[in-house]
Amino acid sequence: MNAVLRQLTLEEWDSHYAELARQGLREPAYGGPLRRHVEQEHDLRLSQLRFDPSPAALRLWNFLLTENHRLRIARFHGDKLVGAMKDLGTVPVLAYALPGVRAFYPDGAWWTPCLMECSDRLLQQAETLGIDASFCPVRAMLGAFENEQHFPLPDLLVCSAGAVCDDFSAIAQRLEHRGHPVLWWEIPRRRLPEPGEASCALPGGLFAPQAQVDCVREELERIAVALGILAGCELDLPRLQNGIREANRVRAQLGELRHAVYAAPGSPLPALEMLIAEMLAIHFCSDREECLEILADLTTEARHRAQTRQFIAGENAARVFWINPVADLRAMNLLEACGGRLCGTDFMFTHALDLIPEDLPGLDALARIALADPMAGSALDRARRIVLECRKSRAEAVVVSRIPGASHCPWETPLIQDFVREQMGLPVVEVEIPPVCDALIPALRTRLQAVMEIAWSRRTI
Amino acid sequence: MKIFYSSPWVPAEWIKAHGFEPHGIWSAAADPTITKPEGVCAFAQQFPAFLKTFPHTALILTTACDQMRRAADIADRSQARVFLFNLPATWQTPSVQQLYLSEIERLGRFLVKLGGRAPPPEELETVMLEWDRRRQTLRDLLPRVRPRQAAELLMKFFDDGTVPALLPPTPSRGVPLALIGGPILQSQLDLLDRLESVGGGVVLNATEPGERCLLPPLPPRLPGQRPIVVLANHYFAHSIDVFHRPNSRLYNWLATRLDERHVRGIILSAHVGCDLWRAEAASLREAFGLPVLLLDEHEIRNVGPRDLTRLGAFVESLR
Amino acid sequence: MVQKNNMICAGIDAGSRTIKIVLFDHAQSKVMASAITDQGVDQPRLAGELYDRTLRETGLDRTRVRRVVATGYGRNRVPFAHTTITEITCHACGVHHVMPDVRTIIEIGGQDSKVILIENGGRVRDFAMNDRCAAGTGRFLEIVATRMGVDLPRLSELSRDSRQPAIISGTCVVFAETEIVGLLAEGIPPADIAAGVQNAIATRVATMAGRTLAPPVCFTGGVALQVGMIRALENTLALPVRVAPEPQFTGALGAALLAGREVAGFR
Repeated sequence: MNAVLRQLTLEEWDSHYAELARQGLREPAYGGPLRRHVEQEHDLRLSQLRFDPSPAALRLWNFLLTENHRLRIARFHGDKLVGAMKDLGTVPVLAYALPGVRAFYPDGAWWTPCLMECSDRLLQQAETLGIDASFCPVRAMLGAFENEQHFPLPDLLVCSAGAVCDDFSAIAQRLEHRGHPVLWWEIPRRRLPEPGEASCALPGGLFAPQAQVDCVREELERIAVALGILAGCELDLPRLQNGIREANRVRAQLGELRHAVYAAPGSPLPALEMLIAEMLAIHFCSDREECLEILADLTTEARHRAQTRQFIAGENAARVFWINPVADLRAMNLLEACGGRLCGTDFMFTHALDLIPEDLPGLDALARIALADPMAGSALDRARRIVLECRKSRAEAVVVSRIPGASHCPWETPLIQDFVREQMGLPVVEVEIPPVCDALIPALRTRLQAVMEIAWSRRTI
Repeated sequence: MKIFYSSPWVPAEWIKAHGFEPHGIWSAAADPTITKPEGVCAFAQQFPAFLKTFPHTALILTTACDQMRRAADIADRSQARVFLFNLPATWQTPSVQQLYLSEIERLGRFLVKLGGRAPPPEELETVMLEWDRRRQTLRDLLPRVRPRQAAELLMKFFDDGTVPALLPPTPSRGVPLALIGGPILQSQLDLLDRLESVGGGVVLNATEPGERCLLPPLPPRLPGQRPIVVLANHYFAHSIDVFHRPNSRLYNWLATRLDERHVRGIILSAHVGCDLWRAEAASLREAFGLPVLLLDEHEIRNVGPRDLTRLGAFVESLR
Repeated sequence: MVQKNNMICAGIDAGSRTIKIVLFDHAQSKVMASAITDQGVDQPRLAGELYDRTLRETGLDRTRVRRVVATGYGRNRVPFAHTTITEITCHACGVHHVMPDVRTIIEIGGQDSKVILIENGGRVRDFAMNDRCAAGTGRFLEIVATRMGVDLPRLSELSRDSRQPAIISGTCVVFAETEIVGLLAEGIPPADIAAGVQNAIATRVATMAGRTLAPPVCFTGGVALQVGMIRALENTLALPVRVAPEPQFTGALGAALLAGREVAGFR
């Protein structure tokens, strides 16, 4: 018999936390009740969210919500901070291979307006700097650099250019115009090798011309040199290989977590916590070892629940494949509220989930991973991988979350929708999620419920 | 066969030398359609269906922006007459310079597949020198004619490579303005006349295909240097555009000319959905200390009474 | 207490502008009554009053109704409903009941528009919605009608006399309204403006439908009462467009039908 676990409100977590503490809950130094983030950091959104009730989830949330503080402590202790922008999962692998260097993801400030329910005024600040709501919510990063009230200013800013989305590129260039020097590196638009061209296999079943891989490798060499200068020591081969091995430990652990959750008959962990957990693959939330432990904890919890048939969303929940991350975390709670559960995801960084080849020279391996970025190639390549994943995960419906202002979404979304429909006949719904989506909840609910209804109606056949 | 190209950084000489007639997209592009999906750039959105309007032609799109890249995704599905040219965004390293050269060579192979002929070096050099001469003629003509005429000359050159030999001088008048931005279509050139009608004169057209797309004179070829390398290096070194990272070359280029021509105000034109240009409005203001008026593409296409008031008020504020 | 041997079900469509009700007798497979009232702030009360009034006029009371399904924008605020189902599923069911061969439904309401693709048997295959922008909805027509000083039926008639529909280019209905003021000032015939607005809405719907639209096409929702919109859709889609009988009620009808299926133990 399946038991349905209830997600908790913030108030319910207060009492639950007290109970766990009485039972001897052991937490890391950054642990504590979730409510303190509301009171101390003004993360007001937490009062609107529903949370998984496990200690593993509590640790995940505290880890996420203390990142800025962790970066400041790292800076205080003499660590060098690298802001790795746009590329999702490549430069941090290099950075963390060096002692005394931490990479973080300034673009991640896009969740700050959601978490603080716009009391941070970062989006308004971006608008006064000329970047308005026609650009994607990553524009919050501009405000964060200006007011320095969130993450500390990094010692080095690295940003990919070329096959990247326009709005992000524009925001990063604006940042540089505002006096923040950027080390730009080229990521060419991935294409298939032409007859006669040397071909190179990339992770994820993709191919690219060897010349493109060589170009990216040379770019990564340049970054490695810059990082070495920052760290005061060379990023040599042994360090790099070790860094890749460690990054792969995180990727492998995340792979186990995804399998434990998405393959289970019911969903043992909620969609919201899975979104956050997957994001850890990009830059480890500034602490690679801790990230690994948290993912391991979540995996253990998920497996235990699956074995004991305790689910957040039961077996009757519609299996939904979710495409693109959401600016408002509340939207992920809505999935379960409407009767769905995650069975697979593509949060725009599938290349950061693939293992980095360890049988190749380090920079060559990383160059291949970087080129496998779904945003660096055609939307059709991305759609093909999505269909493959949907088949593996027995998806019954697909949700494409459109990021407001993101230049790739209006083109990609119809192509992905058409392709999924052609190949699998699955219902596909598009939802646009702004940083605070409260006013849109009824409309979002209708879209999500409608697609669940279609999925359920197909089961009777 | 006509080959349409969508960026001034795709060498038209290369297309010509392969035996085709290169045509810039700006004369042929239709007025951006009225209804389009939200967030899609009005300029890029017509490319997926472009070849249906122009059968028996081919289209070269570029990776200059995400919008164009995505349009190529869709255009490419339906026909084999589309080439996506990978224009590097960065410009500081030998490896991306090599990338640019290899893209030109790859384009050459595409043109051969379409029925063109790989040009011997001396033939390519002849075309390059001819184009260089035409650019020089254009550079001589542009300061002597009114803004609309100057824009028409540039549009014609980028359309079919032709330049008239001589034109009577008709000096520009009005408050000196710079028109900066992305693609301006043939159908949108009325804007320049409208600006004159409210007392402004565009003395710097830095749109596409505007003055910033006109390369400086070719350097002499070094002994042993292949013409294609000269061509590639020249284009690579002198491409002035917003998509570069950093885009300091654009700002340096603008700085010289804004100062030389005593520009008092900037009109920034951006297609609806174009993030790259739109984002520069504030940076242009800060960099040059000049007022900036942002015009959306539908305002450029159809300067109505409301827009004329805006333009007039802008020019008045600069007097 | 509900009498178990009757099969009268009710469907309530609580839309953004109006609330509709259909009473359906599944034993005789016929609509017993339908009614409509304006939406308001106190929707639960308004829906309840509409329900009771309709029952009374049919000689029934609540004990005679076996099951109530609510749909529409306000479906979660109908306290006497047993379940809620989205309007996508309900419109599909309602249209399929009256036009079983239809494969695409275009529903344009006051505040949103939808394209619903139907499989054999009336199941929804897929759908697309515009619920974030007034351009492409009945709201746009209302704004234009107000600006032109006519009511909606008159606006629809006007467009019939258009020789050259005006081109409305604004992507936002607020800017489009400004364009219309400009067109009127320039002496563009009202007929051409009316036709232009209808074309703009039809084009938006066609864009939403993309390449997935398959005939036969049915037009439903309140805006389907506008003959001019039917013409505009047919011209834009280059397909015949059939209008559902009593198009404002297809959602409520579908809800009542689905209520009956719930009673019978399947949906």
